[in-house]
Amino acid sequence: KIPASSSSQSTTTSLSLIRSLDPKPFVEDCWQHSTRPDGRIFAQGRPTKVVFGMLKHSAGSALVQLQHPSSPHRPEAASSASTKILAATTLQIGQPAPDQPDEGDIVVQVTGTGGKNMGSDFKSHQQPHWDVLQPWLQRILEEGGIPSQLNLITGKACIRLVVTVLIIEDGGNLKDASLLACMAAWKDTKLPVVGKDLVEVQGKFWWKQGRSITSQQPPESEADLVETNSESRDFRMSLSMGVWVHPTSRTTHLLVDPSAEEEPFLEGTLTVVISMSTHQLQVDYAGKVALTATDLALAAKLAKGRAEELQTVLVPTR
Amino acid sequence: INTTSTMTTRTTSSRRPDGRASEGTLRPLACELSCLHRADGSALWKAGSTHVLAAVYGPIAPQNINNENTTQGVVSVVIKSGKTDNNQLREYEMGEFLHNVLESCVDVRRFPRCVIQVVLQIIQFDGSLLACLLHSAVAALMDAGVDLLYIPVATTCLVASTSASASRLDKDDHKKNTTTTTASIRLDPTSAEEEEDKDTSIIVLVNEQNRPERVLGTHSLGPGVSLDELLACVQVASKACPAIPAFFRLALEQKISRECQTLWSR
Repeated sequence: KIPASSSSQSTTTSLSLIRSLDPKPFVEDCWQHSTRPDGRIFAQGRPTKVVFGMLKHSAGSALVQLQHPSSPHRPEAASSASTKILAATTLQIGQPAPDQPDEGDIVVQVTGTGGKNMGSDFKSHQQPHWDVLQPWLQRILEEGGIPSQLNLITGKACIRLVVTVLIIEDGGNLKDASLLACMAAWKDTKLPVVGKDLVEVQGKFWWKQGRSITSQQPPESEADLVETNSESRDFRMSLSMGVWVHPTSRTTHLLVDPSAEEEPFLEGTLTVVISMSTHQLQVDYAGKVALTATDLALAAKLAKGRAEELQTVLVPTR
Repeated sequence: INTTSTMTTRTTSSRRPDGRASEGTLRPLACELSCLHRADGSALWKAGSTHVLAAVYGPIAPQNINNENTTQGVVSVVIKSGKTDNNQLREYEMGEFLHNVLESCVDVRRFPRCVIQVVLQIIQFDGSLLACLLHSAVAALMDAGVDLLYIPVATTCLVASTSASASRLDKDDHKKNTTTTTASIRLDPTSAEEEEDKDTSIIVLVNEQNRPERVLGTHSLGPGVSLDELLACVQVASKACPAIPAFFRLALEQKISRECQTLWSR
């Protein structure tokens, strides 16, 4: 007589083995039952955790984690398939470009650690994603109006904001996590003020003695606090959705925040970038399935809902 | 004081900087097929002053075994422009978008373990580049005889929002402000029009020839648009969609008739 506990354990082991060897039937079976492999519904994203001020010596930093919801079928997955991105900003002062004398510059660098969820074939599999992630982040940050806020003295001095994005864990949906990390790091960044943090000596700018520009420095006054948490900054967030068509009913479904387990079997990925202040949208989509105007409207509605959630998350906690 | 806002979409009949009659007019198209002899298929696509040369090699065996897919073919897209590093990043993004669109329209199940290489050379740039890249790639694929599931058609829309405020007195003598936001949509913009105003957005919509009301791909640049403006662009693109496949047919018919004349004249 087989004890009940060992039979359930062997069933779980068999299920995990089948899922690892041929994940496609398992994932599609979940979708056909209107659920997802990690137990979420289609319109549900993973729990998001944002930690500000992670790094001591950078102008701003933030750690974003899209946590894997623990599933009764796979309790060990709670710590394994999450997405962790660390973003840090550093400031460099220089001269603006002649064609844009009142704007600064943004440079985005994307790199990885080769750690968890990055196996032996990590380079060949992940590198194409990073080649596209870097220009995408650069474009979104530039179009968000950040360069215009990096001006110090028109035609003479401006700031180059270097944003370094470190992919610690890749559990899927790198775009959303990395953009949120960049925005959180930008929120955490305190920009220097000429005359207060910087002094001009012989045509060059120098940091005023004792005024370090790092996120760890506590604000001296209410004015400093307002400057760091500037309400005038426009933040952008993105919501990526996978597209899947039911094989029998042929209805199109949008899967919010696809995980790494789901991404290879999607028929397209729709990314909506929304500005939190103006609610204007940028929609990027390429896939095998044609979308209707109704699908686009639903995607926009989901993105607006996500923006409202993240507005509370992006308030820095010190 | 009450404020209300309404949105209307208009396509005016004013002349554009390049002399086109209205905002819904496409630039004149030209296409030369089989212009390269070594490639399996090639096309020189011209839309106004934007010129793109596309070459297709394949289906061939991949040089790198890691690029091989045992169940279906792989489409590889390379964009060359010879520009600086900043634009190379932009080319990566455009290349990825074109790769996704072409891989969905090519019948890759017929070519397992094969690679179809699409090389796109930007010869001259004057706006609406992504659409020209896609059309030249599709023309080169047709010239190479690669099986396509459908013909993707790209339309570039330049969206500029202008707000006009008006105030009036209502029946209770309260001042009422009305803000009317008008979205101006220009098709196939030139580079001068794209760079004219920083607040304009550019949306590239890819439709299917047989179902133009549906969207196969979108790519957005600029500060962004509202949902109404996006849906208006989808509607405008669906109306402009039939023009490109008709031009493809014309170009192919001319090429075949020219080759027949050359063949039978020997």
